[in-house]
Amino acid sequence: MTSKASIYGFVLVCILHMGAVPAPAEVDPALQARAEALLRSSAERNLARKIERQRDSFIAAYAKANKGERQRVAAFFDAEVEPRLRQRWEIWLSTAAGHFVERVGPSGIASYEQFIATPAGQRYREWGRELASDDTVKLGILSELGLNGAFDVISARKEMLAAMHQAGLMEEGE
Amino acid sequence: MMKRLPIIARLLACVAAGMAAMMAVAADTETRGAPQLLAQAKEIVALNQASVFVQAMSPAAALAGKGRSLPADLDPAAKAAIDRAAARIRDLTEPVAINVFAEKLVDDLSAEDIGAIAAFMRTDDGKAIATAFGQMAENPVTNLNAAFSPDPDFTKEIAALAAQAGLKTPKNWEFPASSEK
Repeated sequence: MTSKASIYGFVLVCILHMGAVPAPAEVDPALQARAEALLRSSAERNLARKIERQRDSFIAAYAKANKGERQRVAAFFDAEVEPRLRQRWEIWLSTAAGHFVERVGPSGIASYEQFIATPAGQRYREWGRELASDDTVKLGILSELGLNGAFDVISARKEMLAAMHQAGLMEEGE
Repeated sequence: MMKRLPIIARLLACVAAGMAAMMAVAADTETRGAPQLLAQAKEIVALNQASVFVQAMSPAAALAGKGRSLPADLDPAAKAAIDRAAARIRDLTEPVAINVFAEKLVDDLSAEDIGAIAAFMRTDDGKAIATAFGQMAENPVTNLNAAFSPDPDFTKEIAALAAQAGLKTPKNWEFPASSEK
């Protein structure tokens, strides 16, 4: 009975999830490939940073549980975990590209390709990529907000998360 | 006399620091060019970088990063409380983010480049692209953090592989580690 209930529960969650996040309509494969190429070149640097963070956290946790095996843990991450993380990213990329095509259409893809082929477009995209790893902007925002402004943002964020918890949108500890 | 010297030295240092700061501001203004250039830069970043930065703090993005979305049938009172706090965050951060990103754009790119970028961003396609990028953070399937958030199935898969490799999995371990940590 319990297992039946959990199967029904699982199916219900799947249906609700599908309803909440509609999959993109069928996308022309050629257009999809072009969108993937556009997103890939922008997101690859971000992926490298995310993998690096996951690697550090994985090695720290596993090395603690496997005393003195830091090198083995690192080798395991590189051989087994990283390729799987990249696979997850590829799935994300493909889904994101599908949604991107759906939103901007063929003309948007073509215009964006043309724009980023121009010298100004290339420099702007490179600037955007550098920006993602540049903490000076975040520090600049913090400094312009000032101490009081930063506290106001933190308190508003706490208020927002508290209201989300209260509405059951977030679990304890999130 | 001996006691007064340090005071004079301090005063001189203050004046020198003030002059240096004024010179730095003047040089900065010169580098950042005309107000029209800064206005164009603000127009660009308001649609793109600053917008993405602010959107990433929204309730929808907070949920999307965990692979979930805001339910359509959310209680109106709860929705109002969430929206109020989210609007406050946006009001506080958006103008500041626009200024900071725009100043950086003006510092880093030429006036010619900024003009060309602004011209593209004013087109329908440019606006649609900026909007599409901005909305990615608020959708659980396009928010990259969701792909890098704890996933019980993936955690089990990695733990099983680790066991095969003779590695012990830490207690209460979750993978991928939450990207917000």
